[in-house]
Amino acid sequence: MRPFFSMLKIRFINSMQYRAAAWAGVMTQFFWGFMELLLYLTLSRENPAAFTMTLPQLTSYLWLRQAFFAMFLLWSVDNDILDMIMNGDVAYEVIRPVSLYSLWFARNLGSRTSKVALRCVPILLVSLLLPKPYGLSLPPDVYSAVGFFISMILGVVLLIGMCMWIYIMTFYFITARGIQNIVGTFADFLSGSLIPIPFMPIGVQRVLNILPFASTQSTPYLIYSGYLSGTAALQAIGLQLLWIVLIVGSGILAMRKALLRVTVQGG
Amino acid sequence: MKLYLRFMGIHFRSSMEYKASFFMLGIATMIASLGGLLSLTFLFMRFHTIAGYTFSQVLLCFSTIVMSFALSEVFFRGFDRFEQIIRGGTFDRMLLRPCSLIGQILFEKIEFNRLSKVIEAAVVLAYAIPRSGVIWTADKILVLILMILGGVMMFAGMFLLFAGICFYTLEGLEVLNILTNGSENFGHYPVSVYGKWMLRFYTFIVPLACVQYYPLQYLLGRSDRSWYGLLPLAGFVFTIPCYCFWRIGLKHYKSNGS
Repeated sequence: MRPFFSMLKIRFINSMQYRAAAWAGVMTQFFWGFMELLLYLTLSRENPAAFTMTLPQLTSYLWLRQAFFAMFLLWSVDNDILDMIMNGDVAYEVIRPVSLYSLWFARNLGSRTSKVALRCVPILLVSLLLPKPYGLSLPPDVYSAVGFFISMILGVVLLIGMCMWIYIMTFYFITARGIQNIVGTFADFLSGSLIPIPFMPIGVQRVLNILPFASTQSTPYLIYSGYLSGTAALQAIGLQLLWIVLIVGSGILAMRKALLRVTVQGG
Repeated sequence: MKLYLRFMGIHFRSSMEYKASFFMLGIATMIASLGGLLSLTFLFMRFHTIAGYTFSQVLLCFSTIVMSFALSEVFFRGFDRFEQIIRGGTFDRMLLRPCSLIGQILFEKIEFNRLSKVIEAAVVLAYAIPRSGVIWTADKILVLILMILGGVMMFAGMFLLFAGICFYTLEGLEVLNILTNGSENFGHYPVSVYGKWMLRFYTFIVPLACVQYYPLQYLLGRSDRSWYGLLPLAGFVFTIPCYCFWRIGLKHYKSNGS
């Protein structure tokens, strides 16, 4: 376990160097969230009947999404790893006496958490202090808070599991940048990062709720806000677990297979 | 001008050398901006109107702003990448040539794959024009064209402004993307949707509302003031202070030594 922790730590310290970038990120996220909030406020005033979430639920959703934005960007993969696969340096990684899957998993987790650690605190603080219709409200009860915590961890694990699949595909396709862009955009949309899933048409919602993308960020935020509670929340967490088993499990197997047939480009 | 056309030809041919990757990037750009269209559509399926605007009326707004941004990305991308030009020392070489500087920077990069976004916007516009309930007369068509051109100039002005800042910082400031990408993203809806304060901000500080909200009022016949139709010209006016700022930055420029 120790090598993974040190990998985590290295990536963490590494990303902590970019403090200016983090401030820029905070400003951008904050402005973005605020503008979207204004749009939804107009919508809720105009047609309250069609507004499927309550206003506090929606604002909490939006602020959480802005705060943890960097955590759930599927397309922000580690370019060093992609380069390694493309130019053959991956051979050095394979030699290391630790499993490649968990090593890269830890690396990804480290850089994502460090990015978020810098960004989420100011956004969460300010949004908690904002006056009533604009601000982030606390979860309605203890269950929501605990549920959010668990579901958030599961969501992150699932997301990194998906991210690992991008690396695995790079083994086969060598360059995956184009596909990566397209998949990234779809993932953004399917995970409810552009508009919250409860605002989509019912038919679309049904499909999206089953797909793994919703299990990454939408589920924890909806649990926090109290939109999903009781059995619905438990079911959603169960689905998250199921997807983790499927995606991480298949990823580990596929990685093993990819490494068997890896040809180092141009040695 | 002749030179510019030649450079355009060169850029076009060079991007055509890698046809697969050219079309791939084009499609990727298109899909990336499809997300905005899709969320707009879904929100309208639920809410039917936003601040009194119908779906097609907002689409009119959406398509003009997307088209402006895409066009400005095709032709003014050189300024967006200005930090690379400065840091790579290319700019020092440009200063030595007996050609207009702005022209040279524009030649640096012309991104044709962004044209896919222009096509997407044109399709949406073609859908929205007959359905928006506007009685199209010659002057209204003129206003629509002015909206697009004014938008292009507004974004060009912003790119110029950022380039001017690069003279001092030697690197681009990510935060400023709030202005460009933000204006594009939030410009999907008429700015009044975001409330009175944002409308003021986007009228007097960034002229987004001038190329989008006010002329739309004129097109839809929501306002009696016909001079609203001429407000997109503010996009052109906006480039003047941006250009001045760029000149001032240029005077302060010291090479970064590479």
